[in-house]
Amino acid sequence: MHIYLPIAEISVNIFLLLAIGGGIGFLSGLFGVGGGFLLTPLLIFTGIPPAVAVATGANQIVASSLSGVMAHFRRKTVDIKMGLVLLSGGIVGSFLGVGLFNWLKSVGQVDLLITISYVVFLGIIGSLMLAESLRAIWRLRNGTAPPRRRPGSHNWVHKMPLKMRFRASHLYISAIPPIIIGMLVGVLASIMGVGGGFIMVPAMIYILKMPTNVVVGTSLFQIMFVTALVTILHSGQNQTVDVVLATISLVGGVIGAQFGVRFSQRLRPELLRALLAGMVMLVCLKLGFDLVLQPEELFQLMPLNMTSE
Amino acid sequence: MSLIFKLFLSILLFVGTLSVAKADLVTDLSKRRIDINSTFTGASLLLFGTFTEAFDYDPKLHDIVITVKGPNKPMILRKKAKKGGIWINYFREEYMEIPSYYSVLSSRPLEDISDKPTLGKYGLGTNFLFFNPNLNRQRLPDEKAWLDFRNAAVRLKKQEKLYIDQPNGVKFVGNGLFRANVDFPANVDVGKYEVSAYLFRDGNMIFEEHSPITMSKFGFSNQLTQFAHNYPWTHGFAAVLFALFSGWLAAVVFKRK
Repeated sequence: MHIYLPIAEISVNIFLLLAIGGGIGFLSGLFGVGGGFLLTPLLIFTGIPPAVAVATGANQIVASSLSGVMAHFRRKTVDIKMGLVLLSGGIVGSFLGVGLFNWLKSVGQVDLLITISYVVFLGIIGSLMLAESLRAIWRLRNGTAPPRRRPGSHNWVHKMPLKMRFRASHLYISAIPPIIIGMLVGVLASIMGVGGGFIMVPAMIYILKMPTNVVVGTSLFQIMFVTALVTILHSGQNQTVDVVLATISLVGGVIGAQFGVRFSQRLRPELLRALLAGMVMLVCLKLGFDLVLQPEELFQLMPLNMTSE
Repeated sequence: MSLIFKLFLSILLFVGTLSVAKADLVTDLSKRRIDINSTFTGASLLLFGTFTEAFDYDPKLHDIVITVKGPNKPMILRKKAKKGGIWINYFREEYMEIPSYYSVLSSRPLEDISDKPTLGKYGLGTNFLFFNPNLNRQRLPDEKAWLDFRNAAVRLKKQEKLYIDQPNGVKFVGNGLFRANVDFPANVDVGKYEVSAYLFRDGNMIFEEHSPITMSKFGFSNQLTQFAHNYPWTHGFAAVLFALFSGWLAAVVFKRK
């Protein structure tokens, strides 16, 4: 059964979309990641225009991150003050990102920007995760204990001005690093249609040295606002938000996530991370090959917006 | 249904013979206004007509060509080239007016009906569509490439089923009556369309007739599209509110797990 996506302007099999949403939801339940960084490329593989895939991906993440944030609010694992500081950077980053997106769209290179961003970030994250998880598996096989995490030592983050106290995170650090991290994530959200949790969570743990129990809730809190802003900016300036597409993939995602959570309790975490890393690398390679191999269709016909140029 | 249809045809034929002196060709459409609804399958239009000499219709002598043209839109055509090891959009041609839709139906292949100058004069067939390229803004691989680009634009439009060639799309059903079925895919633009009918005798265009039709879209998905294009910021806010509602609903439904 095909459904016509009004903004993407193509007909896609509704079950394929549900399966993609379900698969991503399953993965996000399984691995505890947002999954936006896999959703957008998969939507592109099904023939949805990259600009629509990005804007719609952001819209879908608004929904999934609210579900997550509500659970974290109940457990009081959200550092709201840190979230707001990250968000102030995120707002600036979203405007920068959408501005860059629009400029490249007007010169016809936005698909290239999206693909290259994905190849670079998926490549980096995938190979880091793969190396880490393989090391962990190898250590478990040999019975050696993992190296102890050193207690939070003072680093360059503590030497910057504009210090603030973050009670929920037990931190007294400069506001500049969180603002910069938030800004970077805002840019990524607007050009990749991702929440950016895969960048923000490691940055919060390793750079800001936040306690791990508040990291996920706080990042979801910020992601919800940033993706909401990105959705509005993309809809307002590019009209590329496809609510029908977002809803279908969300329905699949919500259901898939429930199965993912249950299934994850049966697998060892190291193996899970290695599997996820493998998947990330596969998507990265496919996108990379698409850049290098000669495309089947060299021509592309697009409406010309006379006012924007 | 078929009785009404036959009755309608006989009235039409009667009118056709009455107006012999003035019009050589009479056509009518099944509807003047096409509403594409959310069945996502597009729509089709039945066109039928007759002409003065229809009772002496000779397939080697008489030909009918029908074109349907959608509103013109400015478009940009880009071509990828390999730069620094990767394929990027490099060449481009901007067209000021590309018909968003173009369908040509004829009783025989166009090249059998008349010669190129005549077909070109009336702009019959995708070969003779003029897209009005903006020469100041083009970047082409070489001087002759404009033709490749133009043909690529036509090819892409045909892939989307927005340009349709039906060399045998006009059928004579007997008694000098012809009919043609024009198809519109779900992704057609709304607006004013022009239906033109041409009568050829022995390769010469002897009568033409033009009439407008209106294309409009209905249904939920089309209202959504209109909303997204007419009120993009409100649409963005609504999309976010809807996402928040769905996220909240999901959290409530699956709270007890």
